Amino acid sequence: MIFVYRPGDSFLHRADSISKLVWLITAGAFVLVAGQWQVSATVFVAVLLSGIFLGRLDASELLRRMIPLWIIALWLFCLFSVLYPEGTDPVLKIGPLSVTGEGISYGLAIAFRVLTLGSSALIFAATTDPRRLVNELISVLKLPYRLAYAFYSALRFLPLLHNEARTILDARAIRGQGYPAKGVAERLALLRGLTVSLLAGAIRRVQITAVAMDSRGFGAYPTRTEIEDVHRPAGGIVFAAVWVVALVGYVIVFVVFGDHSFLRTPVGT
Amino acid sequence: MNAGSSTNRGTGGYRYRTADILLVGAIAAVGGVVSAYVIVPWAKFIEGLLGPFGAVFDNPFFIFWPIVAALLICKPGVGVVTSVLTGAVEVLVGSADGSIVLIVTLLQGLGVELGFLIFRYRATLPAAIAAGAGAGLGASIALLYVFGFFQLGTAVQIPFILALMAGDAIIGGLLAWAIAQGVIRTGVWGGGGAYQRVDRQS
Repeated sequence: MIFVYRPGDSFLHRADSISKLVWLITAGAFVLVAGQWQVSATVFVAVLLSGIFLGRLDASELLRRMIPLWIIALWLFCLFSVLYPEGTDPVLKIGPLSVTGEGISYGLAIAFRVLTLGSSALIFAATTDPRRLVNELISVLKLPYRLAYAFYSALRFLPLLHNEARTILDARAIRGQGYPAKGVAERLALLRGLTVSLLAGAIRRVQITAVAMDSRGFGAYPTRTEIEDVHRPAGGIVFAAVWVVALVGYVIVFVVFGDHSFLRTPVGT
Repeated sequence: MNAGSSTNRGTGGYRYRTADILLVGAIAAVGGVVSAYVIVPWAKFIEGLLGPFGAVFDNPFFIFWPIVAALLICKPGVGVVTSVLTGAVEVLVGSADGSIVLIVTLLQGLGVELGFLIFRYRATLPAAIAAGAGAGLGASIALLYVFGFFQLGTAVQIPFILALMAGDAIIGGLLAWAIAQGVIRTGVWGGGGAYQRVDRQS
């Protein structure tokens, strides 16, 4: 397993993690709040363009990574097109099922919601250094560093465990112990065997590391010093602020004073 | 029917020891690795066939990590922190489900927490099953909202919630229990390790 993050010099790579986290949450909130499919589609396109132009990500790779999302989105679109309970405007009849205009609108809104939630997180992961994210969570959001260290330890153990998993699976394959697994029983046995072996190895490592950390006074003081300084470029903050203003503006203009639905369905649109 | 020697809380009571913090991180990392190799390939196949309803069949295999952590550490907050951290690791390694994972893992972590709270954070099989049911409830609430199923009426919603709760409780809870038992039998956690010896002396 490899992190999606690749170092780069794009606008999104330079932006601080907290601003990108705000962007991620705002984009998600936008599609969760918006009932109209046109709004969700606009947000999805804006997110993709942000990733391609501001993050300089390869568009084909981004779309390829989203294949499972495209399948779910298509599935939801088809499901709601024929099963939408409040549909009154039949567009097409397929046997006993009728595709309604309201169902198509709702299906599109949910499909773009799923695509936006997935693509924004992929762009965030591809342009955010996990170590920088943890540092900024501690220094900017004041997350207790003892708690944040759980995140650090996950990042640190990940490559080690990745290698260990490969070794265990290769050893099982040589001995003919169900890898690659066939059938439900073999898969469950593989899952349990691999998990217990990995956890036992990880716990040994955890105990040694914990003794070393405690002996060096980890957690003895309320704050700790950092090797890397935290830089928050103004561009990143402005980028996040634009998205927040757009969300607040949309809610005020189109939901509170307009006729857009809020946390509801786009019936009749 | 305890998973550990007592409640695995160590000498610090409900305060997290350094080993607990590191173990939470390690379980999240193991979760990421095992999910990628063993679970995700066929979970995506199921979801391709059944769409979001496929969660009923594959969710139990994603929710047992926080239950294993809570069974091993037995302290408030372990379930929700491990669940959210597993979700964050999944996102950072490129899970195509993106932010949906973060929403689902937060709610299912709260469900795990609720299950263990009912049994006062004791490492028992009923607590693991209740935590699984709680995780299923949290996941179903998140999925109903994110995938817009709340429009489909109670005829779809209630069976979806009940199926997720039952699947997560029985498969997820029992799997977590079996794995926690397997880990404890190795003797590396809950008594025999170097850290426990140092911890008891302090």
